[in-house]
Amino acid sequence: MMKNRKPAAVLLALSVLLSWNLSAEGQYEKEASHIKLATTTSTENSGLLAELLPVYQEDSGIIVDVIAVGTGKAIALGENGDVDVILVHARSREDAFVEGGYGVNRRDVMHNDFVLLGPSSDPAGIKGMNTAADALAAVAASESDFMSRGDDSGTHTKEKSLWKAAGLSPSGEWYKETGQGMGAVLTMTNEVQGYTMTDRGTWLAMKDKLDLEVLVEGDPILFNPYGVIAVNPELHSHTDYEGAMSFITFLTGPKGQAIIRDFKKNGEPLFYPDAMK
Amino acid sequence: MSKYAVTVRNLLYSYPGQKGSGPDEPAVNIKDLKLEQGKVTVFRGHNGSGKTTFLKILAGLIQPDQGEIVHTSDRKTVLVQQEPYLFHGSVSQNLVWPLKFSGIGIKNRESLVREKLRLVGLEGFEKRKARELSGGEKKRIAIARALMTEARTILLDEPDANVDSATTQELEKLIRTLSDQGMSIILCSHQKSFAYRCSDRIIDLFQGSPVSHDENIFKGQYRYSDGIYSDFAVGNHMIHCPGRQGEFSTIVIPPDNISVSREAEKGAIMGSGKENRLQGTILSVQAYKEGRFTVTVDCGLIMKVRMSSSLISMLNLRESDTVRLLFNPSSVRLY
Amino acid sequence: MTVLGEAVRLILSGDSELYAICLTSLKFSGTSILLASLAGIPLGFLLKLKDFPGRRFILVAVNSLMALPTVVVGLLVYSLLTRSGPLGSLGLLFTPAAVIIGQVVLVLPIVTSMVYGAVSDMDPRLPETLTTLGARKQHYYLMLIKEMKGPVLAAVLAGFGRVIGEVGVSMMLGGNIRWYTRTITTTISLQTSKGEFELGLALGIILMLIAFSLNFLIHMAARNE
Repeated sequence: MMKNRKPAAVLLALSVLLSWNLSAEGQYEKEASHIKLATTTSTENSGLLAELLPVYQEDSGIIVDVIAVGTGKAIALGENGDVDVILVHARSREDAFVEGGYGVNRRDVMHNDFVLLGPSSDPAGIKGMNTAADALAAVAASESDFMSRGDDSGTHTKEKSLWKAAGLSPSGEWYKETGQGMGAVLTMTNEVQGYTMTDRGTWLAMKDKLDLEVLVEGDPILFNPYGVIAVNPELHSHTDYEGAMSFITFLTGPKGQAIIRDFKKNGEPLFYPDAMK
Repeated sequence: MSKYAVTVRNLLYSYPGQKGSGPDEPAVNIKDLKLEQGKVTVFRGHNGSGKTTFLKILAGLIQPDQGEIVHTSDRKTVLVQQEPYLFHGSVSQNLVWPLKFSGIGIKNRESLVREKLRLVGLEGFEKRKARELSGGEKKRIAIARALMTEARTILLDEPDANVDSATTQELEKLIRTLSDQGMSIILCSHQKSFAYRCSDRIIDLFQGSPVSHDENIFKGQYRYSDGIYSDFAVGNHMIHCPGRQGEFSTIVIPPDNISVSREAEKGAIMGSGKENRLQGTILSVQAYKEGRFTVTVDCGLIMKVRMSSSLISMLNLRESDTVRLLFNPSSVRLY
Repeated sequence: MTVLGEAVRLILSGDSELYAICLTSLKFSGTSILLASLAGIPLGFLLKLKDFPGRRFILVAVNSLMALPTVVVGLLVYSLLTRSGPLGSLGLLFTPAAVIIGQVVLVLPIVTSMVYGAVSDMDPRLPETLTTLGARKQHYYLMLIKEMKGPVLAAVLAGFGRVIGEVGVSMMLGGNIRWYTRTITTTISLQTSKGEFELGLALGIILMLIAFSLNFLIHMAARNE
């Protein structure tokens, strides 16, 4: 009775340690080589990476660990050398990243586009406008609720550039900086029946659940290019430059580009390959 | 080897926070005290008289401010608290812990546990959950646990508090048994009868200092006879005492109620035939207080008698004188 | 189908990724709380029972650190583990080790502080009993911990609740890498950001079930004591 009580805590501790050997299907393979990719949540959330990465792994034997964060943080992770390669969409900041010596070999990968969403009642009357800047000006004038990512992401950067193009710096109770991911912002916009700007991929993935409409699209300013950049191995010698380059080559090569082209949600393409133009 | 279990000299202790402030009123202040080995010593006193604190000092749980405590052997003392803390788990686990603490590998643990449980009258309690026992059972388990240590001096803090009378009697018996086995027992209590029945010696504590009453306490056999007076046998001596029904193990003869006469003045002794008469030699004459003296007489029993200085000089009492003692049976108290 | 119904269906379907995510969470939290307990329980006792230089400072630090949001702990440990940070050469960022380091930093103050509080409220008869029965050094402390199993377990449980439910540290230091450092909470966070509430809710239910069954087990164990 005394003998068997003592090891209860020890037993518990042991089971914790043993749990590390438990395998689940699709377990992380420690023996395989890994590269770390920092990318935006919108890329991850669209489901495109889930199509690309298994094919790449099959070809190269390299497993890509995806760290999905906002564009701002993805770039910061690259600057600090915490990842090997980044896949982001904020052209001006990508250029600054390369110019700062943090990244090398930037390549265009693909683009999608942004759209302006709003309720079908459209209180600001922007439906069918051809210029995104004019549409935003109308939203501001009517002081209709506008949900902004407000999180320094690529989407947020793009949104700010649109306001700038409209000659406005939005403020007021109607302009809400949520600080959340795209999916969460769309859900919030739906709840308040307001306006927002989103990438088309997230919109297509979620539109069945949303009582919102695409009101403005097609303006060239809404074009959203994705670039892939290897972290500079001269600055961070520990990074897997070869792995990063092999991934970039795959992504911008025929196989990767074909997967991007054929990736569809509800029959509609989400991304348009750009690398082989 | 000394015949004292504990010797205390110049012991002084004040509670933290009271030190150095105002007139010094130490919680414990003992100039010189010797406690006999193999005896039961009872400290009696009101709440706050310093009883528990003194026991804790003896147990080494409290460091005195100054003074010296000498234990006879390095097998020190063990304290049993008023409401003892029993460990989680079974009774036998509780009893085995002291063995583990001392690091002595003892093979026959089970039989040792059984023996101690039998001693405290709780045979077969090994598997019981210690913390679910009654208050009196807990006390006895705590004593059994204390007996598992190497200590030959056991300190009991108010063992008679908060237990029913049956348990009190069990505890009395247990304490006497342990004493007969040669254990030194020091306990405190504020119940008169419990104190008398258990003890070989009573020391009253008043504001942290011992006050001796030089009471004559004797253990023996009570023989009830159906009259006004009965007899109480202490060894070969037969003491007449009040006739009361019940079981009594102890008589107390107050030293103030004994009269003394010179052997020569036989005629001076008057009274009924049932008076207690003893004859013996004076061992010492010592000042008590307020002009009174304590005379110790060896009559086969060691008797202490208290009398005024004027009476002593009138009778011209000195050491080695032979005297007669006389006291009324009704002054003898039964416990 | 409602979101809740879909969540229950997901749990019952025995989805292997769901299972892997839960296992990862348990591994991380279990290891973190194990390490934090190994350090925090003795520290809690020492802080109360021993006087040593720096004791007061540690007490203040422990109590202040309890209030830190998980994201701040994540940031602090990130700044140490990043390749540009002092411990960057270890290459720990975005590995399970990083998450566990962060979670230990997060929960060590909680375990320590709760154990310290429990020791402060300890029955004063316990140390007296141990001393008088001759318990020395390792026996003495072993018995203190043994006798205070209840409150110590409560401290460990509170700590476990904190780590299994935290998202800041896991997200920041683990990177939410699929099959590797993706835990229950980072998945909930990811799914919510995608607007897919079903899996998030399913995991939320599992999280509650884990917490409930653990508390229940401990409660039963305490009753059998």
